[in-house]
Amino acid sequence: MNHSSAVSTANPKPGRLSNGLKEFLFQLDGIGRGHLLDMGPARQTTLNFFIERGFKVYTDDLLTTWKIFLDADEQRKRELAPDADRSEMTPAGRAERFLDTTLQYPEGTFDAVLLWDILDYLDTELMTRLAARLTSLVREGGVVFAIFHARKPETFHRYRVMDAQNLELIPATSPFAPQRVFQNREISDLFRRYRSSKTFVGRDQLREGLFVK
Amino acid sequence: MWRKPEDSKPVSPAAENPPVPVRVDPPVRTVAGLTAEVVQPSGGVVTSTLLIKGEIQGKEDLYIDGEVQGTIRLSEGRVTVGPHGKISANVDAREVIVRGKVKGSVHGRDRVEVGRTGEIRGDILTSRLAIEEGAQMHSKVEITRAAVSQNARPATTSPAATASLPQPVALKAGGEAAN
Repeated sequence: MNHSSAVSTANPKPGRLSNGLKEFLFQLDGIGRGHLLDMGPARQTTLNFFIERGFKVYTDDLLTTWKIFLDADEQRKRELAPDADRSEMTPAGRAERFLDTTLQYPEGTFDAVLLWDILDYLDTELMTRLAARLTSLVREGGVVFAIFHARKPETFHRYRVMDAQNLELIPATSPFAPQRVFQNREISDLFRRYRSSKTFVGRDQLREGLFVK
Repeated sequence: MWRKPEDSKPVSPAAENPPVPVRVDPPVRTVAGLTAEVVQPSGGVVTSTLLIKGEIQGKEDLYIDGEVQGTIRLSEGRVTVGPHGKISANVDAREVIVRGKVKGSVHGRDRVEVGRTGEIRGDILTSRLAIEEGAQMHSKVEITRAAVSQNARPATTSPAATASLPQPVALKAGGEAAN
């Protein structure tokens, strides 16, 4: 029996009540024409939702960009001469070079970041560097909305904001396999420079985290 | 058992009298691989074999399926970047439709559409934005104040009021609505 299909048939509602989103919007209330970074693929409804609230929205689909970068780098590696220097092809080297080309914004640019669940899918080298980069990009008082899987996900999803209380989880082709299931302590370590955090665990084993810098 | 060959089936009356092809009037110029809807009879076309370096200015519509490096400014026109189009330029037009790649800022005074094959690396400034599933954007998106006033909504900045603004027009390319 295909358990997952049975579940999806029994629960045809596209939306998912999101306490994390509600709290995120509560934190944003009053910011007005702030700057919001969406690190998922550009979604019409998500963009509209925040633009209509006066935000300047920046979109940067980090997983897709990272996949394109890695594919190009692999191709470059194959074309290198056998005795060529490959020291920059290490996971750490790749992560450094990738971040040299993406998320090039001044420190403290963003009032809000939709990080979604991308930290679950990045290798450790990039994940830790990305978390540090984000910390510098978020202004004091800014807020990050992240999602963590409490168990290894069976399906890769993209997310979009349906309304002020609901997210839609859209099944998609995963560019990467899930890399880890974060423990609470690891999440706290990643966001240790933020002054407050809140997490909400749903029945679907998604942990939504709000981090205020 | 022998099966009758396919061609021995009785011919339907419709097949005997095929419908008269519908004449397109006025004739629409087409470019290989492109649908007629995006190639305007009155507009210019940069085909996929062309590379243009410099500044493009004008008032007509322009379809670009080739490569442009420089600046594109069509104050009253529509710029359509075809699926093979590759733009390294700031684009400023009344309307911008992106199905190819654009590296540079995109200012579509009335509207910007990004199709499923579209990719923009640069800021977007417009009064209406439509994005199709699969579009890639690495952009700052800014909706101009003019859009709010054009929508004839009460002058208020509260989230509750602005949330009720109409949605941008959804794309119809490929038969799919924008998400």
